[in-house]
Amino acid sequence: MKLQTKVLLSVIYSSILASFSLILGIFEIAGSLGLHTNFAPPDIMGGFSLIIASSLILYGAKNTVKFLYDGLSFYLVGLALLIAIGLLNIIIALADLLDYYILCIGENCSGYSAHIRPEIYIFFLALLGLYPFFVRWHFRRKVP
Amino acid sequence: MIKDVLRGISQGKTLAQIAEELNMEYSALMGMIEHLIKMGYIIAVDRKPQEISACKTCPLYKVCSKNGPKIYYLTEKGKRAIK
Amino acid sequence: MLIALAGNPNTGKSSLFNAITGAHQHIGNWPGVTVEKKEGTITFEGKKITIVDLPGTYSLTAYSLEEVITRNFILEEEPDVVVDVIDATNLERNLYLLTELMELTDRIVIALNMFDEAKKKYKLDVKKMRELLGLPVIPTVAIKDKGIKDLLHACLHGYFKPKKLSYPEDVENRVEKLQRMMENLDLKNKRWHAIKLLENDSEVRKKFANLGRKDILHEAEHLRHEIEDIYGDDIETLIASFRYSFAHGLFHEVAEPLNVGGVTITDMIDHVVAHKIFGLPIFLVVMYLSFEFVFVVAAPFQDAIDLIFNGKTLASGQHINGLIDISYHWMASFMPNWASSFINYGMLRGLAAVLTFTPIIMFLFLILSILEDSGYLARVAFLMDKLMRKIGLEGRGIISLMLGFGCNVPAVMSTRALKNERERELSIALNPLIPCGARIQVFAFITAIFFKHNQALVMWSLILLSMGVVALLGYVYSKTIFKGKAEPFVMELPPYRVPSLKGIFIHMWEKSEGFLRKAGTIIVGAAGIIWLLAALPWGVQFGGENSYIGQIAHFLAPVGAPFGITPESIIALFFGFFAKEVVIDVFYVLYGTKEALFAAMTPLQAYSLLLFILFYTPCVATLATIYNETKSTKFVLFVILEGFALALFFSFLAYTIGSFLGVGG
Ligand SMILES: Nc1nc2c(ncn2[C@@H]2O[C@H](COP(=O)(O)OP(=O)(O)O)[C@@H](O)[C@H]2O)c(=O)[nH]1
Ligand SMILES: [Mg+2]
Repeated sequence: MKLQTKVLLSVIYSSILASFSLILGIFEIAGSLGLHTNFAPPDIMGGFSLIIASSLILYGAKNTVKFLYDGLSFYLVGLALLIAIGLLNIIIALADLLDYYILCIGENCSGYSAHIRPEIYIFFLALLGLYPFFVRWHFRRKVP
Repeated sequence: MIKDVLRGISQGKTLAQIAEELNMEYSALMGMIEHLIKMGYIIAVDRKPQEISACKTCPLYKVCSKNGPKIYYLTEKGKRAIK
Repeated sequence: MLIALAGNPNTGKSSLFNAITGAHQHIGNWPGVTVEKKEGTITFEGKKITIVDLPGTYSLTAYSLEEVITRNFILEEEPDVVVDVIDATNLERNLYLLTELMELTDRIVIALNMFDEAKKKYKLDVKKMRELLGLPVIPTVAIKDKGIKDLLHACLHGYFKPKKLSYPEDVENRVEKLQRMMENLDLKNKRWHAIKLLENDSEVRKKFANLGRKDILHEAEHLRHEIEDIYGDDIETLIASFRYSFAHGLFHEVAEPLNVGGVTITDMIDHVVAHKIFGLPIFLVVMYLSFEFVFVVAAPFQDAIDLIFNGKTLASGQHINGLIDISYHWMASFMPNWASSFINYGMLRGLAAVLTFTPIIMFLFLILSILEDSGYLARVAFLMDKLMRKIGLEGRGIISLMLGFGCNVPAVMSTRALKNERERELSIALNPLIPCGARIQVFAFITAIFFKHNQALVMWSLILLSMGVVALLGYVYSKTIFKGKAEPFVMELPPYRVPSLKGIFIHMWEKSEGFLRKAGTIIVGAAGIIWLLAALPWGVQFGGENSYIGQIAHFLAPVGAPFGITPESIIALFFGFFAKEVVIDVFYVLYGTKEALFAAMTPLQAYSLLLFILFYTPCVATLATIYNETKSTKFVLFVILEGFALALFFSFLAYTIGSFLGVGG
């Protein structure tokens, strides 16, 4: 496969992921304003973070396909943010689990029922979009 | 070129931005900045040792942020040069 | 034969010198100064060659000793060849010196050193460089002894036909005119002298004064003014500009960067995080994620420490003893109950409270260290500057204050660097509004207790508010009381780097240790005083209405009521005047446990309190520094009043609106 095609596929993939994250973010904000949905936990700033991260990806997508640094920069920083958000949510889940059992000491509580936030899936999915990072020296400042 | 650099400074750009706009290497720009300091167009302001030691008067002096970025100001001469 | 090695510092001159001379060197000083002079002799192709390692310089002005030594050596000793050792990985920068050397001598050989590294950065066209310059250009790798023979060969048999940099005719005419006036003087390289005279070079002027040629000096002065009139520029800049343009042009002719334009990861990140639209939202997100991390990760550790010290009461009503309970019972077996109570439930519980809070402090400092060491905080300062310029804020001194966010004291002192008095006062007036490290700790403490689910959001809103107020007040001040002129500047942003694990942990440990030590000592003292206030006069119920503390609280209650601030909080705020972080200690001593504190206030009251702490008077140390820097009692009073006004305004506003809407009650 040609380099161009690979980058194109990668960017399309990430753009779809970013669109989902964007919608998720909007619903998380809506949720905290009282409009509850099943798949989006209410979380104002969490939603805002998702919106910013995915906007960066979408904003940089076009110029990434054109092999311009300008686009790649936005694309990668956006992905990095998305990954950071996912990672944070994984850490939160682990810390909650630990906290639950610490608070349980001396009592007999039921087993921990985990609720997995969608951001955690996004973490793993976003890793797959990083391909352009590894071919970054093929990028140019301006269209040649 | 010197004037472009001075103008960039007065517009509040970063050195990296100035270097990119002038298509200069970053190290070359830094060399020019040093030169401009010698010629008296700009001055460099650094955290002075006395300020860092001032941290010690502060209740939580270890929290003090001890290193900041270097800041370059245009001098009067520098401002005149781009008028 | 005499060969001199010139070049910028750190280009590998000494390495090259060693590679050429091996053990045959002699180290001394340049006559009359303590700059090191290295000399060596070798025999090459049957010729005896002396080699001198000149001091490293970026240019050949009269501003520094090294530069004067270098140019005088080349001018007076007339080495047969000057080797310009160039660091080929920073080619453009190094070419500036070449332009100056070429005015000094024709016999230059260029050593493109560090060629091994440079090959990774650009495609270099050495042949073209030779043609464009008319001089031998030899790639070398000094540390691997590569290119040494070629270099020496070029020195002996090279073809020197330099294509010199020529200035515009208006300048060249005048250079020639000056040269002609020097005709009967015994001077080497008259063109160089003429150019330097036009450049107003102090050393060369002295030389002519010593020669008794005032006429030439006068003429040079005259010609200089003529040129400056023509170009509307001062001549030093004009000539330097030509040299820079020459170096710049040459660089682009011979070097094609492989990594286009040398774009680095740092450039890419900065392109986004310093972006005019996205920069601020990204900062808000980073800040939020950081706080979220701190609180969530600290929670299990806090609960574990709490459990160990304080034990817990089960749903069944049964109490599991913690260390403090155990210690209390043990001590009570050999001392009066009140003494054991004072030691264990007064002081020890306070200490335990500080320990419980430690995980938050540690993670807070962990994240701050990462943000600082990675270089991101410097970008935040840059971003703030841009923002303020956009709203027309005159007085960029606030930036250096932002950087001192750890503590207001050095931040106030750093305003000394500002030359403009107005700008300085503006910066000092705004400085206490930037939350220092101690205040951020207090926020973290209160937030962790009262806002179980929105901790990060609450912290975030406080920082955001303070920045907003600084920007707004800065704007208002600069238009009214502190009218002043803007001082243009540029920041050197350090490249991003992955902070070293060791560095971060040392950082984090240093900071947390400071907190623990401080809190530990204060709490013992404060606990003593407050325990006494709560226990006296003799016979009252401990901490009850009739105890001293109860009376003080009763007296203070109406003061805080409109803001939802409890009397205990007022006592804490009072102690906070001496050092902000003491607020935490006082709360613990007054309330004993987190649960008691939690029960004493509604979240709305707590938020109102947070807003108050955010703005009310800076601590004593800061005020003392402000007095020291301004020598004005009025200014100190102004800062105090400003703080209280903002504190009262915001906590009143929040409490009233909150009560009205019925949130957090
Ligand atoms: N990679 C590489 N490093 C070099 C080369 N020549 C010198 N260095 C390194 O550059 C640094 C500065 O060298 P030095 O001779 O002290 O430079 P001077 O200040 O010009 O005398 C040293 O760490 C050398 O090891 C080279 O050809 N290639
Ligand atoms: Mg050396």
